[in-house]
Formats: sequence, C-alpha cells, structure tokens
Amino acid sequence: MSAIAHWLEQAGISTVVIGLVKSHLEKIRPPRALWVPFELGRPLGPPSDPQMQREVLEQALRLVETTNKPTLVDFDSDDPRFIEDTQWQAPDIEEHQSILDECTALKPYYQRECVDKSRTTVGIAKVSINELATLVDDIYRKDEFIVIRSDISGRLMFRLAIDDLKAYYIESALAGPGNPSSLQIHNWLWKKTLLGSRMRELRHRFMKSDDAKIRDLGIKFIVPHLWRD
Amino acid sequence: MSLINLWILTAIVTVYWLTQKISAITENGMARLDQMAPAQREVLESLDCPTIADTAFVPPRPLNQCRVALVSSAGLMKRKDDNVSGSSSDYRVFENSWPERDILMNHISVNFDRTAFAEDINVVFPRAILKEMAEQEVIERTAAKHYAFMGATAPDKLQENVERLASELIDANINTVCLLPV
Repeated sequence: MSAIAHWLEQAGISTVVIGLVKSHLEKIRPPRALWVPFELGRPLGPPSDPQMQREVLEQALRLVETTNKPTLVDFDSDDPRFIEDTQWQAPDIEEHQSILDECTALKPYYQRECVDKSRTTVGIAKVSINELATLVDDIYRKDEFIVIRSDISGRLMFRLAIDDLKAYYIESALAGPGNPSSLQIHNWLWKKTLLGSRMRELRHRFMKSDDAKIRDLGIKFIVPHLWRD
Repeated sequence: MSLINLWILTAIVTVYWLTQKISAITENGMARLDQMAPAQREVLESLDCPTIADTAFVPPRPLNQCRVALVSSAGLMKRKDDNVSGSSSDYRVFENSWPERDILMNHISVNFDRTAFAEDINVVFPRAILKEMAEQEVIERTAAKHYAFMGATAPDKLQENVERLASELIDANINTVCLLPV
C-alpha cells in the first residue's frame, strides 16, 4: 500500500496510508501515513464503532493538509475491542463427529447473525455450507483433494472451503451476547470446535506431503500463526 | 468523608482501572510487532520493502476540497464475480452504491483478523464513514467507485496496474486516495 501511495502521488493524486505495521511505514516512507495500533485486518479499529472509525479516517485524511514530506503520525488510541468481553458466550453446541453436523448445530446462530447484520461474508467458494462441510469431512476421511468446481483445482477449492467455513463459524460466534475480542472468537474456533482441530490435523498431514504445493498449503494457508502447533 | 480521603480513593480506583486495562491489553496480545506471535513478527520484519526513489509529494490541499476514493489491499471481490487469485496484480472496482452484502473478502493470507470484517465492513472498507464525511461537507465528495488489490502480491508487480488506476482516478476527477492495508 505504501508503494502504491508513492506511485499515485507521482501521478498527481494526494494519498494517505492508514498503516498497521509501523516498521514498513518507516522503511517505505509513503508521503503521508497514519500508523494505527490495531490488529492486522482492522485498519479502522473496532467494528460497530462508527465514532472511532470516523476519528481514524478523518485524522488520516487531514494529513493531506500537511506540508511535511513525508509525514508519519501515530493514532493515539487503542482498540477497545481488544479487551476480552466476559459477557460474550460462544455458541452452545455439543461435540460432533463431523463438520457437517457441527455446521448444522451452528445454523441457528449463523442465521440470527445474518438477519441482525443483513449480510454474510460467506460466499467466496460459491457452494453451500453443507457441501463445503461435506467436502472437508471427505478430504479429512479420504486424505485426498476432491474437485467439486470444474474451474478450480481441488487444492484451491479446499482453501476457499475453509475460508467460507471459518466465516460461517465467526458469524455464528458473533451472534452471542456481548462484544467479543477477535482472540476470544479465534480461541473458540481453533481450540473448541471440530473444524479447528481438524484443520490443525490436516495442516500437519499436508506438511508431510511429497507435493510441494500441498506442503505449502499446510505450512502457510490453513492455520494462523498464533494457533499453530 | 474528607476531600483528601475522597481524592485518595479516586486515585486508587484510577490506578487500579489503568492497571487492569494495561493487563488486559497485554494478555490479549496487542497488534504491535513486539506483541505478535514470534513467527508472524519474523515474517513481517523480514518482508522485503521496496525503495521508491522518486518521493513525489502533492502540495497540501484543504480537506474540504478533497474528492476521495478508497483503495484496500484486502482482496475484496463482488459476490458474483470470479475469485481473486492469490498472486493477482489487478484491482477490482466497487461501485459506491453496491450494498455491503455483495462485497466479500478473498485474501490469501490467514494471518490477519477477519472477525471485524465479518461484523462490520467499515473497519476495512469505510464507504459509509466516507459518505457521512461528504454529507457533512468535511470532504468535497466521495468517489463513485472504490478499489481493492490483493495485498499479498509483491509491490513491484502492481506498478503497471497502479498507473492504470491513477488514470482512471484522474478521469473521474478524484484528487485524493486513502489506502487501507489489512
């Protein structure tokens, strides 16, 4: 993004970067940047907090008025949603033997969140959640990739499937009371659900593959750093 | 209770509150580099950052004369469009009028938070906040179109398409861009 800022500025367009990794801003030195002390993935900070988001965006855009070249300013408030919310409750579901059954148990939570937010972030695989859950159950059982979309490989389909399944679980978790931190939701997803444990197991299986692309999938593209074992 | 006692009590409560807050933040792992998972920190610190020789700097302009477009690196896609390749150097275009429910995230990385995007798209792509600023005349106007790249792509592979984007922005009479990495 900081490199893009340089190139747009060369074309005569003013730019501001809202940056999350300060050392990158210091190295690439975009013309104007606001460093925000937030988690990767949320440049405007807390979700459902339009007032703080507005503060971030407005402070960033006001940098177009500065004459200092380059400008790097720190945003001085932390994300209040980093703090654990003790009111939050994870979806109350029993243990299941398949991801399909787990998804079925989560469905009322997911549907409630969809209605509440009038949107869902599930959809990149372009296949229903039940089909995706069955796909991942089958991959886990048979230990081989399965092609269910003719335009993409089984390996890519698997990656899209787990992204959609994670989105489904995250939205189910958001249906609970309170305002959970991302850590609360991810701890539940990766440590308390069948999907989480199977993803961690599949990661290890893939990392032992003779196929470099499958090893790469296991190493980088299934489990986030914090929940790798 | 005397004023001095009240003052001492207030000070104790304040110190306790601050201690709790700092403790909670530390335990939850703040997103600054020194508080990330060591492996993730190592990846970010070792990323090869480009050196840009020509550091152009457009002269300052008042915020209320800014016509603003958003450019995200979140690998966003429209629900019915093709998937975004993990190495794509192209950008996707998002009409300001498209509903939030039609915008999905198709980024290849698993190492950033997606719970916030799931809850509120504005943490990543703040079209609604920008629209509010335009309505209040804090900025001159918001762009009719906003844009997203795949942030995992090496910056040097993006330059040609950034130049094409710049032409598109100039044609649309946009003079300011807010860049939003994830």
